Amino acid sequence: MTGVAKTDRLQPIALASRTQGSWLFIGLTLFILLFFALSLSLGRVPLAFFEALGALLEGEDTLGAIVLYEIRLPRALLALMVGATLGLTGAALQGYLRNPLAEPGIIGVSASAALGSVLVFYYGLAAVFPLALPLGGMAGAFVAVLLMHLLAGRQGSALGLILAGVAVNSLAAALTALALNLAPNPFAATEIIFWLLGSLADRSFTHVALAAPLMALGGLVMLTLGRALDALSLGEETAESLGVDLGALRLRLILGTALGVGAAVSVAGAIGFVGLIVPHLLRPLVGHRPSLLLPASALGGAALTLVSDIAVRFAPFGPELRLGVFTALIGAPFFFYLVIRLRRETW
Amino acid sequence: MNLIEAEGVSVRLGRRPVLERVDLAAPAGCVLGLIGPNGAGKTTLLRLLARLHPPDEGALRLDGRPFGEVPRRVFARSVAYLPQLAVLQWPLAVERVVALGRLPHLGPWQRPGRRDLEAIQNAMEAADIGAFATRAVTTLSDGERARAMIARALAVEPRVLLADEPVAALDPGHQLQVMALLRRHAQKGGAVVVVLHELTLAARFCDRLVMLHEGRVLAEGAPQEVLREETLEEAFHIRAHRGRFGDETFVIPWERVTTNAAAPDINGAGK
Amino acid sequence: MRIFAALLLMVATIATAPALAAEEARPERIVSLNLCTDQLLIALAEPGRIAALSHLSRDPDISYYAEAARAFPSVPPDAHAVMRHEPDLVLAMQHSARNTVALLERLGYRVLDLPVAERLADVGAQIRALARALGEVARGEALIAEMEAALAALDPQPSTNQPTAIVYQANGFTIGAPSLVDDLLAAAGFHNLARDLRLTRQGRLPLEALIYADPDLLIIEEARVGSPSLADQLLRHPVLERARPRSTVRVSADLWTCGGPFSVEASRRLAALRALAPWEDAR
Repeated sequence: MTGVAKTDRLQPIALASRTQGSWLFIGLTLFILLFFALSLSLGRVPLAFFEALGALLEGEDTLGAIVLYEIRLPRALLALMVGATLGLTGAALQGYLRNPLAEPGIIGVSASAALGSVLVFYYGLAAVFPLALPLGGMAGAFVAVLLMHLLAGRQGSALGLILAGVAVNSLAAALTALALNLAPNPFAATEIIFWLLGSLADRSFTHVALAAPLMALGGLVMLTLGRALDALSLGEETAESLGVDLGALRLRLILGTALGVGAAVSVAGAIGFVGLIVPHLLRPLVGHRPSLLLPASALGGAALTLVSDIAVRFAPFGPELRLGVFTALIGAPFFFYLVIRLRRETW
Repeated sequence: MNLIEAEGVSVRLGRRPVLERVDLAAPAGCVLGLIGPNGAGKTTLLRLLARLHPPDEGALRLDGRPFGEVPRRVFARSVAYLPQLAVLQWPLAVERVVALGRLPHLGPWQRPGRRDLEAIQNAMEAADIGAFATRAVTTLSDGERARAMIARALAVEPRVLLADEPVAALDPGHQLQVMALLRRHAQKGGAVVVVLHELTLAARFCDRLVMLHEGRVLAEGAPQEVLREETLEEAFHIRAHRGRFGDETFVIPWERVTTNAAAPDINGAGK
Repeated sequence: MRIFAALLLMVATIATAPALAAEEARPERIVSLNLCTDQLLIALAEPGRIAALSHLSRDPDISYYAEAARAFPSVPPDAHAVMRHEPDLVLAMQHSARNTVALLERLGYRVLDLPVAERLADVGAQIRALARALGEVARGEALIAEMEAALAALDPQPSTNQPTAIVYQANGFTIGAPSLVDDLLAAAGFHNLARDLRLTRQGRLPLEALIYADPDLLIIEEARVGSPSLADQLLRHPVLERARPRSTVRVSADLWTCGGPFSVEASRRLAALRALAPWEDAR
């Protein structure tokens, strides 16, 4: 009897296994690699991918190599990084607020980052000092995360959070429209669609260089939140009694979100719903653990954004779709579903 | 040596005093019960002891050291806190929840080692929750969940266990099981401070009781010294049947009194 | 209150409208509502006869005479604002400021509505029509003769083996044919590659498609250097410098946004470029 118990003792069931979620991570990585390659090989002009790749690797300046390197590679890289940032931020915000509807787009962080970017871009600051562009986005995102804290509070209900998000979103969108209408460039007014719906078309390595380091930094900050978010799933008091410094956690979350989303939006516009859909689909696959959900959502967000960014290139007519159009088309029904489920559970 | 102690602590909420110059001390091996009517300040006192809230006045010490001198992680390893309402945001597996108790022992990127797995396993065995270790906590019954939460606190392997009404909403069998768990923790050299509404359980399982009333300590000492007619009437406005069963004191709340008139002795087995 | 004041003003102006007498008279207080008529007016009329120009006329990115235009008041496309200048001739271009033009005509103002110059050949007709209305026929003919002489001097090569060119504008638009720009390219001896892409007038050309079209000369229509927009930022995409490092030229939009005597300058500059570059090698 005791002998049996003894052998059981050192085999806690799933805890000791280091493979939980491994297959998910491997699968997501393979998926990303596949769609990264597809993103490079598909576009408005038919391109002999391997030929172009060969030329590129040998340093030849063929048209294919130039298109591959100067147009498609920065686009694919940005899709990867922007998507990872949005997925990761969504997972972190949901874990921190313990609210499955939290997402940079829904709570207004993306729209505010767009406003910040618009202000520095159209009024010439970014032309003088390029880094002002992501910094503007970060400032906007920072203000929004702070506002969200004040309006919805940490124990805010799902409803309160969404209402606060509606307010922040409307205000940011209105101010963005105002800023664009008053901007000196006559094209500005028509470009609100980019800032509100996002796009990765015709981005260049200039944008990658500006935003990627900041997104990477924000991502690293948020990846360190895993343990604390795990503890937080038992409530703030228990988390604190487990040694989690809630003040530091809050600060890191706000900084990480501002860095990541601010930089992402400043080069790609506000792409909605990625941070909502991805953590939701992946949560059951990582045993609902916030710490595993963070890296998984980063990969998932990258995958979803890569796929979406390929899909928009094949709009049946006219110029290509805005990326945010596509993510909203698949994300909004998802949002409805979540709202209905939440209503049944809590309201 | 007192493992955890409060000396003259006061807490005010705005102008309203919640706690006034309260003293409390729990030595190793002691199960200390905090009793008192609703709003007496029991939970506030427990949160002070858990360092979740600073006192406006007074001193708090862990193992003789002022709280302020104990590093956050050391404190988290030494004192486990079990809040009254279990918050369970995600349907985590039970053993994952229990494993969270090891957080204070792990470095930022350190994975749980053999020692941690052992502590987790011990805690789950002590709380008798092995049968549903892989189930989602959100699917558990109240009793199962309460035990899972206690296992989480035990997995910390704390010296001091602070529990806020851990037996509320449990059936008698599970109440006894949980109280026995707390006792065992004290027997192993720890200290337990537990908030209880069940006076019978308080008398049966606690070594010492602190009765709070309107933020002050009304009575303090061994159960039979605290659970007296006058204190019960003043604090709870009740009369109770009291008696002894072997060495143990028992108290059965019997009726509410609304006047200040002295209660007739209704105890068949008074001292 | 405001509306009432506006109504009063309107009634007062109708009462004193100089409408009928102005038919044959030489106009002395001319208001122009359109960037293209602004520029033609500056080219043809004495400064003293110009009462006001559109606000776009002062924009150096699109207006060739921006500096000269600063000497005159600018007027928004709004009937009341126009009436305040008490014009005896209002210049407009078809398809623009329609409401204002309709209202002014109803109020009895003399309005000259010039047709848009869709081709280079239309510019001469525009000048001639405006010169007649201004009573500056001789000056108009002289300008036209000057333009034709300048065009003839360009002497485009025979149409075989022409180098190709593409114009790339803000937002990724390019200009096809028939169009003023297409004619100006032809006059400079370039084959507009947008014709082969079956784009008429203006059409959007994805950046990748532009690089793949591989023109001998990439003409980037530069505008708005001072005030940024995503539309213009596209024109500074690094790939544009890399794809054709030695044959990318930036042309200021003021030369061909409107047709005018100055448009020939665009062809002259392009022709000079064509004479310089070793196109056969570039192919």
